[in-house]
Amino acid sequence: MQRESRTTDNASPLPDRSAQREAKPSTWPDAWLVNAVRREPPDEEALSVLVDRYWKPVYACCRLLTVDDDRARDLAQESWLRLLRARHSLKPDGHFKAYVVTIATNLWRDMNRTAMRAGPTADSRMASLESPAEADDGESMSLIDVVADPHTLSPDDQLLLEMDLDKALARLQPPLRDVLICRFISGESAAEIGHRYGRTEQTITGWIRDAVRQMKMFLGEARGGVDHTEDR
Amino acid sequence: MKRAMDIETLLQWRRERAEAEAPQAPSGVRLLKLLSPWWEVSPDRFAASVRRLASIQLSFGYAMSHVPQGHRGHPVAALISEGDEERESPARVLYLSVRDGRLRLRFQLAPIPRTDRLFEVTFVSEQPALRPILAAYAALSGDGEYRVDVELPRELAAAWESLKVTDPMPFRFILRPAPSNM
Repeated sequence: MQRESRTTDNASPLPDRSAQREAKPSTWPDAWLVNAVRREPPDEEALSVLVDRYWKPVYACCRLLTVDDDRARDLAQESWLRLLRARHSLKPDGHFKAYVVTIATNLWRDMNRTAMRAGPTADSRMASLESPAEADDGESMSLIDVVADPHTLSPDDQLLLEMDLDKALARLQPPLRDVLICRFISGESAAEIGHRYGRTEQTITGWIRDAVRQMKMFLGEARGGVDHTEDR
Repeated sequence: MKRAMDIETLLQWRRERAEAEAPQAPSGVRLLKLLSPWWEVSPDRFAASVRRLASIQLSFGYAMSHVPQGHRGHPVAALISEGDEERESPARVLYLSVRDGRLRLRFQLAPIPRTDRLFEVTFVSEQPALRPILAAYAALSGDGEYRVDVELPRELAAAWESLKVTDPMPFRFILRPAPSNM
């Protein structure tokens, strides 16, 4: 939970009380809502507005991590409960969405603690050594022959692509799924991820490359059996 | 013409879809209700568990003979409460540290439950009366130990700061299996 503590602080600027009284909670900025939630007892309406405001992005992150609707809902809800348990140390001027997403990610890591500590298994590292030469940064490899732009697909084809993506994500080992989502969804750098894992930036870049390569392979298998991807 | 797709673009698209498919957000009222500790939600159940927990003392010497030997640390009376069933499961604290307001604790159950990888642990005070003082999660590690890492209320942190793993523990456990597959 190291990153959570970075976003919390006991100091909090007080909102302008008169302006707050005149506005509906649904229009309040995060800082006002957080202050209202920090009170004892917490303001139920402010809490509802705060949860409504960030429920979808938090749930979406949980959905990518868990690759399961029910588990994603449970994880998202538990993340809010964890936040509420620590509400007295919430920082009103913090980056609230990132804070809740971090709680969710940390919770998921805790649930997969053994796998996360081990990192990707030797098998996957061997596979990456045997794979053809790739671009220096696995993030830039294209999937042009495997997947069309999803926005151009029919609703049925979008659904199929969604299922294939989920299956590919589910086949990734938890640490690889974690680094992929941290890098591409949360926007963390390889150095930041490496700091958390106690690994070098180069190691994490290798994990990301491995995760991308495996995603391409799994998607290729699901979409015709042959991986026609181009490396660039 | 096809546009080059990369994994990042696909994941961002999947994230957008997941946002669109998100279930309704829980209300503030519901979250606050869920936040209530289980002993407040089910006081009768808690009272029954405490009665059973208090009775463990009578057979404690026998029970602790089942704890694996070779570890130092004091035994702790523990009750696993699952649905309508309760079973005694002696625990031994293997490591305890209170620093910077956090409790880090490792304990072992005998025998190690086959299915329960995560417990919600209710710490029940020994003195002056059996009452709930803390709730935390304990996850099973690869070496068969349950690990707790939790922020303590200020008064507990102060009271437990000098506690050593070889001291008699000022608490007992009620363990409730928690879903570990999130």
